[in-house]
Amino acid sequence: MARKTVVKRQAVLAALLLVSMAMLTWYFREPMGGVLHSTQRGGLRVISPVESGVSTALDPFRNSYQWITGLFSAQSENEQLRQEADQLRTEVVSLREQAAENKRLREMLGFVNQPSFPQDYKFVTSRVIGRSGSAWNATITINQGTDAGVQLGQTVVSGQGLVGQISAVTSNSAQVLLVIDQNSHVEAKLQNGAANGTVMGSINGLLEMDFVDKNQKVQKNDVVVTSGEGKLFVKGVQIGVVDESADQEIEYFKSVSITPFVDFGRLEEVMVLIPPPGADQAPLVAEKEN
Amino acid sequence: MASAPPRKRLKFLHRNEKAALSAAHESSYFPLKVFALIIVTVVVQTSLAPYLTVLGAKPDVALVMVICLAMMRGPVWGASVGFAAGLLIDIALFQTLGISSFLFTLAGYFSGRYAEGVDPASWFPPVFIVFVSTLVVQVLNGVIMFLLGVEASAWFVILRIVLPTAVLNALLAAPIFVVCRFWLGGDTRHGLFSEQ
Repeated sequence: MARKTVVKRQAVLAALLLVSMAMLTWYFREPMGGVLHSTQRGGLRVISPVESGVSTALDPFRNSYQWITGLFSAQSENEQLRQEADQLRTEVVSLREQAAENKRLREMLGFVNQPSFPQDYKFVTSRVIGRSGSAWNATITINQGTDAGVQLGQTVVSGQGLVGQISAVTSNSAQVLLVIDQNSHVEAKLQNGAANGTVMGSINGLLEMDFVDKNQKVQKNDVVVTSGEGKLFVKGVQIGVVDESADQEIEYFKSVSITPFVDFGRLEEVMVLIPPPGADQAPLVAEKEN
Repeated sequence: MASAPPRKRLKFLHRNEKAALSAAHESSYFPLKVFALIIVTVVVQTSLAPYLTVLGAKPDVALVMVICLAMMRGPVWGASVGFAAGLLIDIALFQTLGISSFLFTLAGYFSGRYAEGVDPASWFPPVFIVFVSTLVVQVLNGVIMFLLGVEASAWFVILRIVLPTAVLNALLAAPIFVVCRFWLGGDTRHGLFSEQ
């Protein structure tokens, strides 16, 4: 092969690699409002309508695939769901009694007219139009953006519980950093108030609750909810249940693993919680890290 | 570039001349076809591929397309298409700009180089190079993620991400190669299942 051709090829390779490296370095050094971030948001604004359309068109294929894969686990899942339904019926009766009692207590305490979650919040329902194709990042893209009132840092939930937090937004789409992402940190507590800590994601898709004092009592199946500390997430949103709790002598804190309520692999629609005007919105974790 | 002759003259041309004119006409559309292929692949990668998980692994359709194109057109096209596809994926998924373009550029270039020395009619080279390239890209991605502060068990990464993704991509190599070859037409230098 001619030497000129070889040199030309190597020059193209070197140039493209250099541009990539320069972009990578620059991207990390600049703030969220920098040139590359803004360009990326501009590009996303153009791509997201296409993604949204294609996502809708591909729904039947996705559903067919999920139906086929679901058949393998359907029998055992059916049995498990029957048991859960029986259990839930009992719990519904119990919860209705508790709700009535709660209402009476709130009225007694004079809290009934005070603004509290979730009454003051508005919901923006969004479709999931894309998700991270890589195992390294746990993010989804939704089809609502600033035009619908979505802003950085807002809490995203589904019918099952906490999904994540808005980590990037354009006029017509937004990216949600899922709670199972490595960079996600959620201030949380047990619903019974027995313990608190920070729920963090991991690359294997599981949740860990860290910084739980060894003196605090944590039991299997305890429900974990957001504590609202730091105002990064709305208070009181369900995250998951305690799967395992262990004390290790060499560790200062308890090791608590949590099974999330949300099935992140099958998320189709989510709700973004829009805080009332003037509500204090703390800076975003992802923003600080970028 | 040869301009298309008036239609009346075409029937008087020799068969070889017609083929040459057709090839010239085809090559002028080739970059547009490649651009369309990149866009479609990126949209499929972000909208459909993440749902097609097998044993927890997600296929990297864009990487397979880059390798297939590199094997058809050589290292310069491979590197350029890899850069463009990687950049679009970083934008579409709001990832750190530069990571995918860096890795796909490398994969495209070296796949194109490898293809120069293999039998274009054989099914094995594309499947092999897709498997090896996916392994290398995933490992390099893991190293970059580690340098950026992502913590993960090496065994988990190898057994649950790197190997399953490589196997899945290798399985997708043949169909994607056939689709690429169909879409890009005969204007290719190498081709899986080619008649050459």
